[in-house]
Amino acid sequence: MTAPLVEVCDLRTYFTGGRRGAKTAGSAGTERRRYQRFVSRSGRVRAVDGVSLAIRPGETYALVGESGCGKSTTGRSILRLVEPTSGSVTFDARDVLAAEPAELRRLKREMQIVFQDPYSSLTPRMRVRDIVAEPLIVHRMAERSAARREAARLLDLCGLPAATLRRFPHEFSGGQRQRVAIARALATHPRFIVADEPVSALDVSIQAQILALLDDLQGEFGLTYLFISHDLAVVRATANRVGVMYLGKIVEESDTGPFFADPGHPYSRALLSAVPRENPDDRRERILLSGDIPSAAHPPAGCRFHTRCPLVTERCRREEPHLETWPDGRRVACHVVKGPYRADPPRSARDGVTDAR
Amino acid sequence: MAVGEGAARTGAASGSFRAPRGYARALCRHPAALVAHAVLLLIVLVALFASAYPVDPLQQDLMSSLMPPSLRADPIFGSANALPPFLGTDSLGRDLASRIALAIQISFAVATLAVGIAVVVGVPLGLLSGYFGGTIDSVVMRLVDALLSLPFVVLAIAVVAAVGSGLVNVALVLGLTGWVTFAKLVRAEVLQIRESTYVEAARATGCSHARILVLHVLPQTVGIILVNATLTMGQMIMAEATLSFLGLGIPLPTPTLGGILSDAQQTFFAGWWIVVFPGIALILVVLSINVVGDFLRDYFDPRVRM
Repeated sequence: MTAPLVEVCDLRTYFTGGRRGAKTAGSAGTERRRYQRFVSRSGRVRAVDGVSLAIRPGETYALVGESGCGKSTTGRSILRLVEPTSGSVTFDARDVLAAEPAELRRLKREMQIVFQDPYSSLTPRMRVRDIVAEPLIVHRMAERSAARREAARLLDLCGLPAATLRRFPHEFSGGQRQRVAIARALATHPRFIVADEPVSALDVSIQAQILALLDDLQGEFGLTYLFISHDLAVVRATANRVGVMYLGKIVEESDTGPFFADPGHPYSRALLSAVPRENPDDRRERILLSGDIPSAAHPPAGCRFHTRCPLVTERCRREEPHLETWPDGRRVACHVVKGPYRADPPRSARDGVTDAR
Repeated sequence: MAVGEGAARTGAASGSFRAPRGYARALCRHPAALVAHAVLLLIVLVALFASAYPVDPLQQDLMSSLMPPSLRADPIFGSANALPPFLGTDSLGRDLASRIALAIQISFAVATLAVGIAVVVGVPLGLLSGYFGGTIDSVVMRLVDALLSLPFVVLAIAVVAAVGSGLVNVALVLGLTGWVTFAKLVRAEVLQIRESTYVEAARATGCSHARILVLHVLPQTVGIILVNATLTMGQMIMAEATLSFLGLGIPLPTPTLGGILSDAQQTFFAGWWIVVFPGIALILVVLSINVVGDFLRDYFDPRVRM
């Protein structure tokens, strides 16, 4: 196995009260004071609570999970757009979390991000040419005119005609804006891109185009993606490996093929059973999870999924399961399911995991 | 179609500029604002070309004292003036039309200078305060609170009494008390903008704070700065008139709207025109500026459909 390009170890990102406040580097002080009252009552929100993962060069690692499970915060923490509370992130054997400002700037040349909403991720009063050229100017990789020429080339590469160079973001459709955002992310020739739900704000017809573009660019530049998504169909089409997050933790990590064929963790099975199927005769049972995702400020004791798990046992309520490596290479954190699923599932629970095929 | 939709979304998200054509169209739908624009344009032209008026506003002629408005070119006492006293003369026989024109020019000069100072001081403080928060924010906002708690005119009188009157001093006093609204407004706007994804994207790119503030934050606040500058302009003209009326503004013999009104109070039983015309001028100036300012505010407010 090749050495991982990005390695995350026991990453924790807690927000004290005002989540927004903690996001902006300089403002933490006032926000913290302002929210002190609420903090004492609700405690810290453990958005990311001990995530470890390793992304190999050239692969697409997908993080999936419900809204609020911490997958976006994980991506932002890796890039230090949010300051993690503890843990370690290394990029190409360089310590990201310990990087001084100057080193962090150099790292930002190699690690980029594409945001979910292309309607809010582009500065409204800036021409797209300047948006794409900015990273080059900031990192002193090119003079203004050279940067603009490079921006034109990148926009062309991302499928935007030269006639649109001098336009403002609001003159574009969502898909076109996302192309601009991708061109901006590519400007400094990064090796690693966090794609934070890059297509979930787009029409389905446009999604395919953007995914194809991301795929082409990966082939052309040897990019490594951390692909954050809640859309399993998209993940299936793009990812090499999948990490399933639940309430700030990874509960299962597996290669894409085996994952979709036979998910291990009960939560993964519930997620997959919620994906609509193409075949109406496919009579797999839907697993409906009851209740809401619990508060990340007060995660349940033991296994975090025990409040909604159909296979819950007494042990799950007391003891937190750790990721265990299965014979087929996947890692699953569960006390109950201990090996690949066989054709004969335990029918013990009435609404149990019955992924019979 | 897609372009129109995109423009609407941007407007809703940031209240940024729309096309000038849209401005004209919105103006046509608001007759009051249209009239105000026309009046203001006229007043600005008067102010710009006040010195071209062929009658000297300072030329005293006691023989023509307190002449009523007249269209007769050659008044009874044979004034040497090139134009008849359309708006009458004051107690010292000075031509009121020419004095009011110059006074409007002075008013605009003081108010523009004052608003300029207020913008230059208030906008950067608001930007820094909103973006960085923390100690800077606390210090700036306490200063703002302190200034807002003092009655503006009383403060202005005290300062002018201390440093002396004169155009530049008055503008300085007005500007250095007027920046607070800019600082507060810009700060409130920046509090929102700094949490936006495009600012986060700029940070992900590796932009410095200075670059983010100047290129990514400041341009989004131009609308609100412009609106507040217009509305403040009206206030400044009124404040300058107040100071001049009290004899603390621009010293004599330079005509100012407040000064003319102040002179008039001794003699206005002898001639209504010395009160009415400068009064109307002051009202028109401030009213048209305020209506234009309100229109601009609505125009830049994405919640108001125009």
